[in-house]
Amino acid sequence: MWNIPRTQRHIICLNTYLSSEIGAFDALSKENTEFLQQILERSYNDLKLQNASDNVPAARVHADEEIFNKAKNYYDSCRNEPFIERLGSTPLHPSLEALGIIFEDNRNDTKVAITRGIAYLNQFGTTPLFTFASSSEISQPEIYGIYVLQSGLTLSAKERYNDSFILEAYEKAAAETWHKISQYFQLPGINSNDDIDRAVASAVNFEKQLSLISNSS
Amino acid sequence: MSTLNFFFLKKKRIIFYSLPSHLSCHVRQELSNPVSINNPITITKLHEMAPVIDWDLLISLLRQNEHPVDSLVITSPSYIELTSALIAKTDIKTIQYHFMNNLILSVIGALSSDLSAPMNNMTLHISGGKALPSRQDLCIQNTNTVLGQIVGRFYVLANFSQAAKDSVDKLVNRLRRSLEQSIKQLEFFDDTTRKVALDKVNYGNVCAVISKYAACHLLLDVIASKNSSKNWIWYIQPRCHVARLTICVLPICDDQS
Repeated sequence: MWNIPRTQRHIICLNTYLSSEIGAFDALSKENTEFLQQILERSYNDLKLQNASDNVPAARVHADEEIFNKAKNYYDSCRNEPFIERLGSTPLHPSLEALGIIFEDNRNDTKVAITRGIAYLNQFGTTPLFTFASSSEISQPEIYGIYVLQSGLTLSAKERYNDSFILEAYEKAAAETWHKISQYFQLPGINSNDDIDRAVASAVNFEKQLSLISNSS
Repeated sequence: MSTLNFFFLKKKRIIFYSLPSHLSCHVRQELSNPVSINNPITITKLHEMAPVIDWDLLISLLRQNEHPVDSLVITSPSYIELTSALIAKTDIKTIQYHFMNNLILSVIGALSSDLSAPMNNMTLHISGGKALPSRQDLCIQNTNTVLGQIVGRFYVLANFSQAAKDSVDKLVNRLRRSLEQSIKQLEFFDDTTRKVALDKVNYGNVCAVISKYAACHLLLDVIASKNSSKNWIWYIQPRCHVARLTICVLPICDDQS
């Protein structure tokens, strides 16, 4: 249907193989990505599912198309770069403001502030201390367990926090990002440019402390 | 003390790490071991272990229904305790900034190019110029992560042909035969255990986790677990001590039970 021409596929595999550690798996990943792109950039009718081996029953086509369009809309919104460029940091402002209010409203009860902060960020998939997952329990497979896992590190491996060169680059980049956002939005708990530098330095230092007790990579 | 060494090359310098093996490989192995991470801890006990968090409040804010939650499975109890101790001695403003920083940096890649540029440049800088994924790749990856089951379904319908399914069946059967041979050769199994293990291989679901490192295949931990529908799931995990165990997950389960 939308198969990539064999010659092109060969080039993809060859290039990936030459430039990667594990060529076959990277080539497979690349090929799958291209298939997914072809699916998400076309319409439901273009999928021609009635020709597929597991075709969709006629009674379910309408619902099936709606489901497909949800995924497509999500992908299209991510690809809408002109709109994203116009928005700047605007999508981030409400959540930063809400987080600031949580800490401000609970300044006399740090336990509640931290707990509510964790719960609030969790809805965006942001997990500054630990993350949650559910799966059947090993000892009692008939029930689901809620697993608490480690998280909170921005750099890709805990060892990177031991390298001052990397840590300085990270702190500089984070501070630059905060400064850019502050041009359009009053960051909670921040009153000046110097405050930003101090806030980022303390956040990065906290992450470094977290990396020392984290035993995940 | 044995050490584990790994390095990566940057444009102008080499960064060299020398880590005691018990701090890295051993711990990471433990985290991939479904038995060692299975630590159900009651909420009452969690209040003692990590008093800086209101666990009752946290659960009430996160759960989607009124179903009671008596305990959580803590994959690393020491991490929870040490994190709590770290928070207790840290100024609340710093915690707030850490939360803000995490929020900002977790979404910055999806925002406008001028906002994402500093972190992208930093990544390029510390990775020695390795190209970052394009926005298109990121969007596909993101859609696949957030709506994975929908994307996976249409991927299978559009691209996973009967021939591919047959091929995967062959692969799973080969894995099963290979596992069968291994079980027959394991000296520490008594006959009863061996028979039960072989029955599980032949009649249970097979989900295999295979190391990309071929050298590891002689040292496999074979762990069986039941899933929520009480079917057996097999995990095959490499036991060897290598620095980075990149594993390939094959979510292939053919149900013959």
